[in-house]
Amino acid sequence: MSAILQVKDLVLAYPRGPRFGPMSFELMEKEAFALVGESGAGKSTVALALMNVLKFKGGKKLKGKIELSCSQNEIAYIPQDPAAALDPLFTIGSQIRELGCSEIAIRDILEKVKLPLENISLKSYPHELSGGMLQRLLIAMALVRRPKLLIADEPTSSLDVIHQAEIMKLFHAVRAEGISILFVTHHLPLAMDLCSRMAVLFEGQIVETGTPQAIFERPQHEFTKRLLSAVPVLEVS
Amino acid sequence: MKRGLCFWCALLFLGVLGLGTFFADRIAPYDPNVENRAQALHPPTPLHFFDDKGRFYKRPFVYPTQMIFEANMARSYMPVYKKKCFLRRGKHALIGVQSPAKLYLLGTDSRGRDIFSRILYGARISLSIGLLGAFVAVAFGFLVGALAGYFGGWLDHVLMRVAEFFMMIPALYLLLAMRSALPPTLDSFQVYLLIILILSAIGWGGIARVIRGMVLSLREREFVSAARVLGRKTPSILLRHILPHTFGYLLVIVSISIPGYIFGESVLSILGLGIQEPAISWGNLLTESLSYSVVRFHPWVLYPGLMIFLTALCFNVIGDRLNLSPQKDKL
Repeated sequence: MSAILQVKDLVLAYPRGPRFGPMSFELMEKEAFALVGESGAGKSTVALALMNVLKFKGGKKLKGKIELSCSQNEIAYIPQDPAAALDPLFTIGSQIRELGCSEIAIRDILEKVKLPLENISLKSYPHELSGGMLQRLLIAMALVRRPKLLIADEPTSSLDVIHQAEIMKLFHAVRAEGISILFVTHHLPLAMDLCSRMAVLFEGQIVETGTPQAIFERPQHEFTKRLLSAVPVLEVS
Repeated sequence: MKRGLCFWCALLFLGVLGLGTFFADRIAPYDPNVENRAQALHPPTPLHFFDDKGRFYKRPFVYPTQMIFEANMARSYMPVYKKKCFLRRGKHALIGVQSPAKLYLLGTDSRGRDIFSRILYGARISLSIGLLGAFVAVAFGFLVGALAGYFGGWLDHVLMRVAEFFMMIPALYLLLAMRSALPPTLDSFQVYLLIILILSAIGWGGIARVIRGMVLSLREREFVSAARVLGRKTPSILLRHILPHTFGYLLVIVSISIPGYIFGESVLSILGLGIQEPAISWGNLLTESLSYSVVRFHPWVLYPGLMIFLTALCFNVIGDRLNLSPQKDKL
């Protein structure tokens, strides 16, 4: 299996702000790979750099290489805040149509994310949909373009556990379709559930890479141990 | 959304004025350039429903007037009560009156031309200069502000310094300097276009500064990043995702800045640098009122000034009450 994404010695920085890297990792085709770390570790910055939009957020790539075996058009992005990702002035219908897909494709994909057109109106504005609906809509909008690589930046951060579980089921289905996923999260159990490999980011550096099971059983870095011990365990007597 | 009575009154006034201007040649009782020197500086003709004996008439009428010279050789117009001339549809216009009376709704100027007709025709130039000037300034201000805010860096620095240069010079001096620097012998249409360009050149700087600030904030928004990820080109992002968010501000600024452009045209025309006769604008109608003695004894020559005042007031009221934020409407 060949790599769809290779990141080599990447250093990213914001002027008068934090600096991240150097970091290296690769994502194989049809693989789900997680970037895990605390808030501010640089996960979202890496995602923005991969999509070539970091410069618009004031950041800069200082060093390193990002090699993609697909074109930029074949990358889809699911942002952290679904409410902010849609233009509040336009109906969701007009924003979906902007993707240039056929009505049938849109209908199919909305069915797939369990958001059939009977349940939502394309004339609705983003603020009229719940967080879960918006997130599913964004996943649909990402998938309708048939991407080869899906970058999901904390896609469940604004959802309750029931919606989280639904969205994770969707990601499993996406993965089963052979789409590579870069899953950016601070939620360790979700990363372990979906991904076959993961990298732990701490203060802008990758401190550990491996399978979720290996990291869970034999964490090497002090931060990973702290991260694992912080995961709540539900005890039912 | 409630906008209040003032807003609707202002809109009604501008609507009526707009229609009057558009259909000026059907409404104006007289040709605006026809001189009737025998009735120069004639006061506004009063419409009557009751005659001198107190009898009521359903159809309004006017009395013909006769010019007399007073002791100090000042002209005066006395009504001739013997004859009643009823209002009727004119030969070419909606409003007319039976001869021999004349219907000067707002009086005549020093060359005996009907001020009401001249105001209607003059509005064509004055209002269009206001609207076009504001539109050009806003369009250019948006373009410069959006490019500066969106791309940032050296382009932002250069564009904003140029905008500040235009903003730092007092508008009136800049207006006069720019007009003086350009050839004085131009025909009316060239002067018209020139005035629009000069007024826009003065107005775009402030708009560009505000738009730049708005775009600086908008370009960081997730939906703009999403559009970039989708491979949208810069013009498409600016028009589709950034312009609609600045639209409310642009509409308000257009409405509020139109009076400024009408004033600018008036200032240039009064000083002889703007629209010149035989073309008519509210500004050059006011040249009649430059003499104190004319205003003292014939105050109706100030009616074009009143129109400028009312129009400016209406645009300001509309701009003030407009709050076109679609989000606000829907939330």
